[in-house]
Amino acid sequence: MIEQLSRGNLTVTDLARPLSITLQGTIKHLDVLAAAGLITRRKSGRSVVCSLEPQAMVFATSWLNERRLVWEARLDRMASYLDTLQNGAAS
Amino acid sequence: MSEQATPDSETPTIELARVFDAPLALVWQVWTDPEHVKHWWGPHGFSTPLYEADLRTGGTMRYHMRAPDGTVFPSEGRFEDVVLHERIVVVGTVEIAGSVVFTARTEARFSEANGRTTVEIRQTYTNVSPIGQQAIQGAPEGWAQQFERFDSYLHSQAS
Repeated sequence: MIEQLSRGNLTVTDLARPLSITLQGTIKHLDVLAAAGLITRRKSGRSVVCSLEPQAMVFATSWLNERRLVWEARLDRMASYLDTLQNGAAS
Repeated sequence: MSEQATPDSETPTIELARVFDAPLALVWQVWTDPEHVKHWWGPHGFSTPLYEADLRTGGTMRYHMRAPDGTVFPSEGRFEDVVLHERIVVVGTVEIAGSVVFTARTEARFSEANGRTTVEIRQTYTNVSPIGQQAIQGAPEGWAQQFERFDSYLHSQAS
């Protein structure tokens, strides 16, 4: 579904057509994608048009986790450094 | 700084907190004094040859992190808000190979209880460049593959 959207904006009906799931199933899937901030939906006449949020996609993969690990490691080092300072062994 | 980062509910964000077994005054000093910061800021093997900060609301800061292979990653920013022993908000950019790869707004909140200090970090990212996305992810694989993997994952979550 995301791959389809990566080629351009599509309506919910367009998205459901090639998939072996019902329109309801498609809508449920889109709800998850929208809640994750990966797509946006807007009404256009009687259709709902879906678009991909490419920036959100990048973050949604591993990037944010990496950023979190960078901070966790940094805070680990800070804790050790504080220990060193408080034990009077600071260089 | 050419662009102001204005986080909203959809801005990619990380939040984490840490309790340090040290009084707030010391934690604040270690967090803000460049001589201390150099000891813990960069990853293992990295050095921080430059760290300058004019720690006041509106003040600027910049630092360089040097990787073990000698590559230098410069960063600069501006303090959006500084409240002594309470809060520091800094909006800054990170460069890789001469290009700004993203803007980060970092909020750190400090509080003390029973001689221990809690630091809460909230960092939001904006203006991520395509170069940055590639460099950061280091992923030669195409978008399609990534989409496919992620799509399957989300599909499993939805069903």
